[in-house]
Amino acid sequence: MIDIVKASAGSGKTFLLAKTYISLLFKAAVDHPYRHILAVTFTNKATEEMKSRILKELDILARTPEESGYYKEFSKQFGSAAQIRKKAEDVLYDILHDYSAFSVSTIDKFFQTTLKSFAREIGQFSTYQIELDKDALVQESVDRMLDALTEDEKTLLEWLTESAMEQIEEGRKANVAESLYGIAKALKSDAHREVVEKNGIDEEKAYSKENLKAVRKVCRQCRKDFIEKVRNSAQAVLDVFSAAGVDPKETNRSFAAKLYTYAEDGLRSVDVPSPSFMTNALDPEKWFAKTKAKTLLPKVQGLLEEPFRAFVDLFGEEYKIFMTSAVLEKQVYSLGIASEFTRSFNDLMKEKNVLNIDDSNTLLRKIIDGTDTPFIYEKLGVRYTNFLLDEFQDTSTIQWDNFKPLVKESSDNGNENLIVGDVKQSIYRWRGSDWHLLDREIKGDFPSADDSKPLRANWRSLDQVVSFNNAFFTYAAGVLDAQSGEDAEVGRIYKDVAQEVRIGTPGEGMLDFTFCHTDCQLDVVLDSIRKIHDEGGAGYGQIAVLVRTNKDGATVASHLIAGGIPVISDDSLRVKSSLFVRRLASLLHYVDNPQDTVNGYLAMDLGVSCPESFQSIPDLAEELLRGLRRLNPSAMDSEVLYIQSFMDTIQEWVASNGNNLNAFLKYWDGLNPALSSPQDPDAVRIITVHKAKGLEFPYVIFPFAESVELSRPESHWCHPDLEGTVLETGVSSAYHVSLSSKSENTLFSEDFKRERRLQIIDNFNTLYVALTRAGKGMHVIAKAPGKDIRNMSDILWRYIDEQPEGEFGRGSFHDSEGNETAVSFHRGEMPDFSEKGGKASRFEDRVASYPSFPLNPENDGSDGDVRERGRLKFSADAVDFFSAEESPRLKGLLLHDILSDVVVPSDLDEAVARRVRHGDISSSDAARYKALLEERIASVASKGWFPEDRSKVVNEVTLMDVDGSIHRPDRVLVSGKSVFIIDYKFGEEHEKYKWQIARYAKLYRAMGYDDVKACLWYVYENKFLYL
Amino acid sequence: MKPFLRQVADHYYIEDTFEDKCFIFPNRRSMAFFTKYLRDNVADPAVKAYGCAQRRPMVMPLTLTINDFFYRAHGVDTEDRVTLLLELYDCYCQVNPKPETLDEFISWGEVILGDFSDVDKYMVDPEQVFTNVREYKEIQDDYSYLTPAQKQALDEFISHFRDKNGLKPNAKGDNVKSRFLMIWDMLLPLYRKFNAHLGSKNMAYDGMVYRGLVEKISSMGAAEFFKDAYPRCSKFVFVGLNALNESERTVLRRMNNAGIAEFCWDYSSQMLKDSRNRSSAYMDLNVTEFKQEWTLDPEGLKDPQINVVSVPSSVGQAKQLPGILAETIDLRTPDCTDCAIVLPDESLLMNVLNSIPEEIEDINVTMGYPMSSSGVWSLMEDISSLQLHLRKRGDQWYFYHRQVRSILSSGIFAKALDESGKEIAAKICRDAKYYIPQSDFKGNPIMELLFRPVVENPKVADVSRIHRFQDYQMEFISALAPKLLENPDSASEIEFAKRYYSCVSLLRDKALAVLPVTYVKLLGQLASGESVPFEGEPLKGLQIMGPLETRALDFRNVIVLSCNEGIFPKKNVSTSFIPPELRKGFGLPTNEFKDAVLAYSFYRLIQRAENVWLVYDSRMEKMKAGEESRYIKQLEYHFRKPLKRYLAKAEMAARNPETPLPKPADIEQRVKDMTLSVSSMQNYLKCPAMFYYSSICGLKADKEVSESMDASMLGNVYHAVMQALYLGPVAMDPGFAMDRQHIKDALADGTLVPMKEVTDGYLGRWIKDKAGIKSRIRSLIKDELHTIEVAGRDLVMEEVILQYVVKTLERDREHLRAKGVGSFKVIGLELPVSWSCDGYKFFGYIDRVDSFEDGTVRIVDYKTGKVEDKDIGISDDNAQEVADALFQVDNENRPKIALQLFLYGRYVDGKDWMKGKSMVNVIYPAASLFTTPVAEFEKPRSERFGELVLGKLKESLAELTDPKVDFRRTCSEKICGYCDFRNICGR
Repeated sequence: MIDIVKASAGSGKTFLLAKTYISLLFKAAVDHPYRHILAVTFTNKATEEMKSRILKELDILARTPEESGYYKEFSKQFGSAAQIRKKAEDVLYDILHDYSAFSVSTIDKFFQTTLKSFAREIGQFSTYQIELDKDALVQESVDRMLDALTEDEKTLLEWLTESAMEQIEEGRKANVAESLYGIAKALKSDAHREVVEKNGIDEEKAYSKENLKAVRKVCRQCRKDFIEKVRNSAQAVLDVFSAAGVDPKETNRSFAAKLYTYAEDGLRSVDVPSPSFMTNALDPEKWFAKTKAKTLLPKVQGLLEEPFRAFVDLFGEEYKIFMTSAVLEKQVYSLGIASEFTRSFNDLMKEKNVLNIDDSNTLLRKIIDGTDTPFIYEKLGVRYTNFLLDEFQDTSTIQWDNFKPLVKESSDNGNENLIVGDVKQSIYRWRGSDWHLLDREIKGDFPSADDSKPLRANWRSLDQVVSFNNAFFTYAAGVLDAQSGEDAEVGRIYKDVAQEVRIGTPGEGMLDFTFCHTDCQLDVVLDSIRKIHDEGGAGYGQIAVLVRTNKDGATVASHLIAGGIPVISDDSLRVKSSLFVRRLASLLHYVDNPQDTVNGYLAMDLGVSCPESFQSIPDLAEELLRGLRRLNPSAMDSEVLYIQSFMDTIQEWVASNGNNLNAFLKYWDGLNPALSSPQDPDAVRIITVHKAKGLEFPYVIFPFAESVELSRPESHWCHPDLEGTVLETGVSSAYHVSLSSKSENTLFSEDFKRERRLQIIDNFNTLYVALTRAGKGMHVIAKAPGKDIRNMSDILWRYIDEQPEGEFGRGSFHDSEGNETAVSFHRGEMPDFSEKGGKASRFEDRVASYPSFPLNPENDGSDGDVRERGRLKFSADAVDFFSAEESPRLKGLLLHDILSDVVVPSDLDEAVARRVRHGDISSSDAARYKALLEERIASVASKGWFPEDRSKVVNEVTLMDVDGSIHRPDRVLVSGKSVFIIDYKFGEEHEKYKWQIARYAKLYRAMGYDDVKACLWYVYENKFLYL
Repeated sequence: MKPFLRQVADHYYIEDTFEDKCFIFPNRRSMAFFTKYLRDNVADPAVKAYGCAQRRPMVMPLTLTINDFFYRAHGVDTEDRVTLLLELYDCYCQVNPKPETLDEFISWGEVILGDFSDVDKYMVDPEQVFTNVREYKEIQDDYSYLTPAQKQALDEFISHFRDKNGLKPNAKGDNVKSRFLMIWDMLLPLYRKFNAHLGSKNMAYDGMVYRGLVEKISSMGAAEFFKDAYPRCSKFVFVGLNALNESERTVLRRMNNAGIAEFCWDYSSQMLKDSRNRSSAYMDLNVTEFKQEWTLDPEGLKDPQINVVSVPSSVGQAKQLPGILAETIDLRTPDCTDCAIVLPDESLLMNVLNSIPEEIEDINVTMGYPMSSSGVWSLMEDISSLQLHLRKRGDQWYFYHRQVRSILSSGIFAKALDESGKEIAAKICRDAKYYIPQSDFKGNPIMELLFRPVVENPKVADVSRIHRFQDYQMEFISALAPKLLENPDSASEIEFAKRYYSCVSLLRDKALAVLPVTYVKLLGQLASGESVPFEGEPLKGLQIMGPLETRALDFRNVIVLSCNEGIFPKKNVSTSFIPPELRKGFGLPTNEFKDAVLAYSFYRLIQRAENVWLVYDSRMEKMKAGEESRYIKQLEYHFRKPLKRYLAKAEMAARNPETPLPKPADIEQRVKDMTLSVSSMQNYLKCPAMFYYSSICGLKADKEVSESMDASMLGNVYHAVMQALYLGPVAMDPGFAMDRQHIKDALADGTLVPMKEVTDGYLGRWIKDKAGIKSRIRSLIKDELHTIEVAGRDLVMEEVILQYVVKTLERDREHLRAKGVGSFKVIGLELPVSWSCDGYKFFGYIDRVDSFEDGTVRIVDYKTGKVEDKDIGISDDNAQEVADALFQVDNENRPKIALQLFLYGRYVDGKDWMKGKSMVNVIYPAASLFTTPVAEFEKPRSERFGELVLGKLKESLAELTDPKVDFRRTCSEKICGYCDFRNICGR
């Protein structure tokens, strides 16, 4: 059983999912039902929210079920309040203590866990990690590939040279690696994998040197042939002219004279003749101007038609192939590295013991494809009977392929499954999402799935917002469909856009639209925030500014910060924008290389002393920070978040890469991390539209709306159908082609059209997501529109502009010269921002600052035991192990240790063997240790120190004096009331030792032994010192 | 609240019954605390000691950890991990005809060892659990004594592979199942072989000891057995244990029945005892079977104050400590023994140690720290890599700069360097050689010890060579370690040095005949898995510990960092070959076991605490979910404890105010004393601060060893080859050094006679002799990179330069033919020129001055960068526009060449060879060399341009030398982006 629920923005999707989840728990007949339900969300954040939503709801149901929003429905299904209470309590406590089994997860996390249980079967180490930073892997493998290049690799060398020359000719800096990163990244993309799989391309064959050479050959030939044909054909026409004695310049607007350029000797490239040339050439009536036609037309009529037609015909299909050949040939160099690159990439992953996240999906598919579901569950250790999939429009084909068998098994067994999504909110196609799955394919996979109950109401926004969106998106979909022609996709996707309003009263809510120059937009944002905050009484935390890119986010953030508005921003601010962090990195560079004058200058200039040696990178960085802080404590406090981020980066890097400063700095130099944003309930949130998906804010400001374009040229993997053309090499291959309007004259024109159509939908969806975040009011700010519709905000303008007068309050702003600088539209009243119930924040603030203290504040320079000198206390045997004063051959400490383990002489073998096992001594040294001790033990046999009877000997005895002090004589022989104490010594003779055994003896006497004797045994020298 | 161990100590102390007792604890730390409490009692005259009024010294009872208790009883020590893995590999090779290499095996070997140990400790019959899928028969006598749970698990498991007809089809082919079966089928034979093998050598792994002990007790009887093993002890008190495995349970049961065991379980709090709480899982069993000897916490427990702090950073958590400590303990009289900082994420340790307020004088760390995070580890890895990348040229051995630089930047290695060592290191950094010869390290013992060739042939697998490598490593560590001893901060690193040394030493004993690279990987695999247990002995000061080290201990104040789900409790990653369901069926520990252990340790830790601080990292990025620990949720939703929640907040503040860059008072004189150039003036125009750093402070970007040629090197080599070509064949010899001084000398002593004329034939000859040009290019690249060979991407660069040079020659020949002459005159190459303007000296070199026809002199400039039309075409019409753009503040698209053209004009004015000649500026732009002929354009005869620029130049110089105007910083982010001084400038 599968329910597919299409849920527009704000329609209570999370409510539904949580409700479904909990009702599945309540319905289940088994213990621990949550162990068998998997709820899948798109992001970590959504997972976290889903989990707390479920826990909170269960908590309410477990305490005061009547207060739960689910109560009404549940009471029909699950009995009395008391019964519900009991159910909820049981399941809540079970989940809390069995939390790992609480399966709300992102798709990736679930897949990674699954894959991990097959680590051995897929040839990975048990410890392998998933590498998320694919680009870094790509970059490193390209670098390695280049570093390993030798002169023997002629073809590769030749390709790389040509590619470098190409860069130079394009006026760029020659950087061999740079151009390779691009193609390597593309080769490792989801899109590439998809095109390869879909078309059954044999990568190895397609990117083999042989095939690429063949491609280059046919392309060159094609180009040569076509140019030759054009030249000949043009010449043929011109020949007719000259034979007839007519100057081509005499033709209608001299159109035929253009042919001279086509007939030139060194013709290198061919452009399509203008449309007027084409019409003129094909119609004898149009060959000459009316005035000249009379005399000239007869001379060539009947002769020119054929050659003209032949010339024009060249610019049909054949021209497309010709243009295609140029595109393909350019690719040969870059694709030439594919096989080398793949090898290098795989080696690198193996070496680093990582798995690239995309590859892991492919691997998983191989597993899932070839194995039955029960076995997968056996390995995984859990069996899921129900699946709840959220944001289904964001699922990629491969993810769905991997999920399908599991869902199918569940569905076949008659279990409930829920799939929720909204094509209109699909904005992650660039990450591989495919909304067609939700739109159509899932119904194909599961024909009996029930999709008859979409969520129609809007629980998020007030009337003004909902009504505007209802009307606008319907209108805009029409505009877009009309503009792009034949296929009415946008309208079809948006046919269910209209929602019922469920909150507030009719007419409630506020809308503002401002159209002005880009430069003014930031000020409009600032004004808008002030107005909502000052006049509307909204807290800063209720306001969000949506942006398209993090770059825009950073611009907005700094403008607002300068305007005194507290902000938090997800991912917009860069850690490296902090001077403090840059200086710290600079000082680290200086420690790494004291010869570095630039960084050394900073250290000198600031007067920060840089240590010459250090323990670990975190230690070093903290020490330098303390130096910097002394200069300017307040400056440091204002950049705490940046410093924390930098230190986090160090900490994480060191944890997985160790303490190599030089390597860390190389890594840091190549990094541009974003500042992670704290939670702050009292700050304006700046967030990208993509990240805002799924979130809602009372008031939303959306500046730079014009940046939502219709479509733009981009490179994509295409698989041209070359069969039957001269470009066929017999090997099916994929190419990474820049799709733009130029592509219309190539075999990629279909790809281009499809891509444009999909982009329009992506971008329209982006606008939809942006305009549906607001609860109470929103302000959209965009550039004043131009003549054509180039971006989504132009449609917005048209729509508003077309509204009957009075729909919106219209305002106009002018500069000093009377030019209109901004137009604004307004509708609705200032909403009430006071939060119901006035619930206080559940948090109290703590100041985040960066206090730092040295481990050993003032090195007093004392020469005492290293273990006791610092604040940090150690019991480091190692200190003695490496002590320089020890005999180089036999270490006294070890000898002592071994001897302490010997109760009866036969213990010696094992005592020595143990040190060997622990790596304290090598087996070759062991013999010497053993020989010495054996000899010494034998030498004291007559003294009765080493009796064969274990019970007579006390080793490792610990004595405690009345002052609580502890004493440990090495060996004590007890017999009735007499005691004999032996203490082993391996170093120099020392007075203090005598004192030591005297104390031992005293202790025994105090304990009531009458006959106490003691002896110091200097074992090396085999010397005895009796007390 | 009286700590558990103190209650135990008091109880037995007052009862005066302990000399013949043996106390058994979960770990060493609890032993130490127990002893401390005993001491406190002994030393406290107020406490009545064991019945007698007179206090006297005493023999302490025997105290052991549970592990030691078992090992000593059994009399066999377990082998260390390395030995066991090597032995296991030997056995593995016998059962697997196609074994992976040793270094690849290690990670799986550990899993297998773990499985074997579990099977033994839980007393599972290996023959049953590692069932042979092929031979499994539904109804079989062998299986009749399986419990129903075992039977069911086994049937389920088998059903994946078998149906009525035997093996299922898809268990045969090459798929996941068949691969699984392949491994599975090896486990039983491997288990048998491994046990027999170790037994024969009197060796054991963990599980073997436990199983062995149980067997011994069964045959001998517990009382007698322990009488024998611990002659001094008649009673064994088990203190503070929790989860017991089947072997332990069996032993304890026997001891209990024999009346020689007593038990002190620590479980007082209601939360801990709650039957739904995992923490109670083992306690319930324990207490039911093994009676609690006496009552703990007779007065009951109070709830602690629980604080939860959310911090959007990992390190930021550590930075909350000073504040929390200040609130929790009195820093003026810090007695921190009552305070524990618990670190579930050990990688935070360094940051935590840097966050302990100075008032706290003693810090005690008890936790495992991973070897791979230590400085010693990184250094030793670099040293291995150094040896794997040796080069030999002639008699000299060379080291690759990457590893050398890494080693020299190691904070640990630096500790071992004396003055002479530091000097050598400094020189090596300065020289920036690509390969560093061994001779460069001469003169310092530790440098010589380290930088000598050991892996002379990486392609040979030979025991004695590996031994040499190991001796080298051990010698180096032995030389390094004493230096570390000199500094108290290094104490921890000495631990790592010792562990590393031991690993090498152990492997040395194994006499491995493997390739050096395999050895290095193997060592890496083994050593990186080591976690060094820090354990401070003195029981004073602030306690920093791992979660498991807190066992049996109580603190009044408990601060736990990293209270994130997935870290605390740690996420369970199942690493076992035995599938979870099968583990469960056979009672082997599963994830639930680990959950229970960790939950117990958390709830036990907080049961007697007064203040509990739980700090978590709230960041959500990458795989991090920023989710608070389940324990926090349990406290909130299940136990409904009042949690005080905090949010660590800091402003996303504006930037620091810039500090001004004032000018020195004698700025004018200083500028007059220096020579200005096109580029220094460009710098000033781009950003006066940049000029300040580069020209006034004389800073130059760090000369690191170049991995490969960058754009400027490419330009240098191209320029040099062109100069050599037109100096003549002598300069084209690859051995001829192209630095200015050498050329000057060669010209002076007549070894180099420059060509005056370049003929069509001469050009043609070189155009054909590509190999000749290439070897010149190669020698120049080697000079640029300070390397001994050209490889990698530089081969591409070499080829690119060759194409350039040849094309340039072709263009020159083309020009010659176009002019209809047979040769052209070379007037100067790299010609030094200068111009003085109001006392400011400008100086530069002109790439080439030549003449193709009488009356015209060409000033040639090779440009490898981008050249734009707007730079070049200057006329009266656009003179103002270009001049304005040239001097415009913060112009990101400054016409760069315009200033050069202007200065070239001044430079050549009045030169002898210019007399009566007209001048033509020619630029050879690399970008268009191949597509369009070289463009000649006339000297900007636009007088107007000259005047405008001169005027503005003087204004700029006046501004530059005005001491009242500070050096300004550019506002252009783009210019900042490329600036070498970006990090130090304060913009």
